[in-house]
Amino acid sequence: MLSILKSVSLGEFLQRAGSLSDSNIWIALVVDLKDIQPTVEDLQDTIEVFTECETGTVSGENGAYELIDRVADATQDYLLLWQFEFWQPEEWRTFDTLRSRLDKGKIGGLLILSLESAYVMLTNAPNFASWLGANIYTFAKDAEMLTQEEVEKRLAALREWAGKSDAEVITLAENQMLPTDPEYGEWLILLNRGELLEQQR
Amino acid sequence: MSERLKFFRRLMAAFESTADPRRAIEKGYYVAPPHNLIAEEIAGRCALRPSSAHLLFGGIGSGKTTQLLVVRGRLNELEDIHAIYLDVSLYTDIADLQPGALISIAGLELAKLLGATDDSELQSSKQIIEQIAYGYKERRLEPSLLTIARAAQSLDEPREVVVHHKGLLSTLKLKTDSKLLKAFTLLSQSVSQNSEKIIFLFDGLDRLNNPQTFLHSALNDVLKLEREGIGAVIVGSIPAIYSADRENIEQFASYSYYLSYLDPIQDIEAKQFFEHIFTVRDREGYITPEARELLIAYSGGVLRDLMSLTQAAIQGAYVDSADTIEPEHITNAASSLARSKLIGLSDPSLEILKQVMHDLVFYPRTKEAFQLLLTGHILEYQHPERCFVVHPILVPLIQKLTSSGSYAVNS
Repeated sequence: MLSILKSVSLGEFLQRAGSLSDSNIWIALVVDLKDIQPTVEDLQDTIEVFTECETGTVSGENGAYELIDRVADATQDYLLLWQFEFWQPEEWRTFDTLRSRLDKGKIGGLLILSLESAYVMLTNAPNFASWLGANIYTFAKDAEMLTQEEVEKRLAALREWAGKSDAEVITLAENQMLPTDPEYGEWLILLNRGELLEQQR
Repeated sequence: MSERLKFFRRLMAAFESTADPRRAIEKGYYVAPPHNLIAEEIAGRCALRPSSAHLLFGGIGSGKTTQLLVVRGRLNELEDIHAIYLDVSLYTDIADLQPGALISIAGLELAKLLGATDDSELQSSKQIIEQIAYGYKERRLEPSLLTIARAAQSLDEPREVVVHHKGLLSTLKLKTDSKLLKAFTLLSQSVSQNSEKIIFLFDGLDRLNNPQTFLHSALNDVLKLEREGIGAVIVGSIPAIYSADRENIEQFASYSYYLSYLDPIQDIEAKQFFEHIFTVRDREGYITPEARELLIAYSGGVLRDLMSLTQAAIQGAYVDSADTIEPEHITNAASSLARSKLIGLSDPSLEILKQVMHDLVFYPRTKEAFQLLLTGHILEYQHPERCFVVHPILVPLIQKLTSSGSYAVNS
């Protein structure tokens, strides 16, 4: 059933997130339940590097009211919201009626949730869902979903775009001099050098 | 950051669908819709009769907030009217909206407008409104228990107790207090003496799906405000207008308006309106004419969907390393939005959609049917003639699901 949603790799996700203007724009990322925590940890660092903004996490473990309050108090430029798995329909309905309080002008964020939670959200929070629009994706954590041919094609496009070789990009990353365009993050992932992303902070 | 990324971010910013509509109006992006010149109509009627009450209904993403902001702009151009826009959901949990809550929110705004005052009566009124809104503690002397129960001598002393009065804007309940209306009246009279008629524009109540709460809390307050000579425009949700209380609800307000969607295919003026939106927001034409046409058709006339689709298509073009937004980007964006809209739909809801697609008629009677109207899965058009259609973006996917037999998407 995950297949009904558009699946994005980390690289594509970074590009999409990086193309967003500084605004009240929200994205939902649907991942396997067991992957939620590691995804939050990975994305917090990676987004910080490639969107050039301070990123914070906000937990929904204590319900919608507390989550909304913590979003209101947060000082970071971008927020990762997670731990929705215990939310019942009523909690999502509360979240929906309080939607306006999420709008902090130039700050948006990302909800990381399981498919089950996504169903409950989309059924019970129609006003928030209208904010999400097409920005709901499933997450292919690594780029394995691409065939080798697709990886080569994309790498060739990136080389042409930047006028750089793979080796030059790796050297830039090792020396922490990688430009902050999201394409470079995707590039490292396609080269199986995703570990270099963490050195860019 | 590359110039290309900067360019795409600028283009994305021009099609923001979730930002405060004030930003779009300030940037000159507002285009008046055809037929439903609702903002002008409300503003005109309020100008003639400032203490009247108006109800504005519409589905999610139909542009109600934008209309309210345009009304505010028009009214505030008049020297003797002061229109105040308020998103009620920023003040209180609207799911638990209490009678008196709108009056107390309006009272808080009047207190702000009034500013510092030496008048003790006005000071007291401001304090009463704040206390009723936010709650307060009170120490009281209670009669001795002996007086009450003729009990033992040791209980013969008066006792001081702390009484907690929960605020109307808190999630806990408070009995409606006549003090509130009295204090509000005093403040409004004082503000009106300063020459201006006050009109409140209450937004956010379209998320209040319980018609009873809408009737007994929100509309009752608006009626009381009207009696005090204060005008109000209030937004309501589609389930409220289609509920059994519809007559009651409409009786409450002087005027009611329905912001229907615009048919982007059959209605020529509507199509021109959507084309104008692109002219204003994409002056250089990075979105090709063919792509624009597809976007307009897929949007179904839902403004927020038009913006959301356009942004998704721009993102797709960016990821594809394209320089312009072409029809294939629109098709991909439409597929993503359609899938997002379809998830979470129950089997009965899908049955209704299928039936509307097949029979081309729709009589909303059930909870599911109201919900489909609210969320824009089913769209109501009023021009060139009144009709209901399934959102065009969903049609191919529902046909595919139906023919493949894999019907339940929420199991």
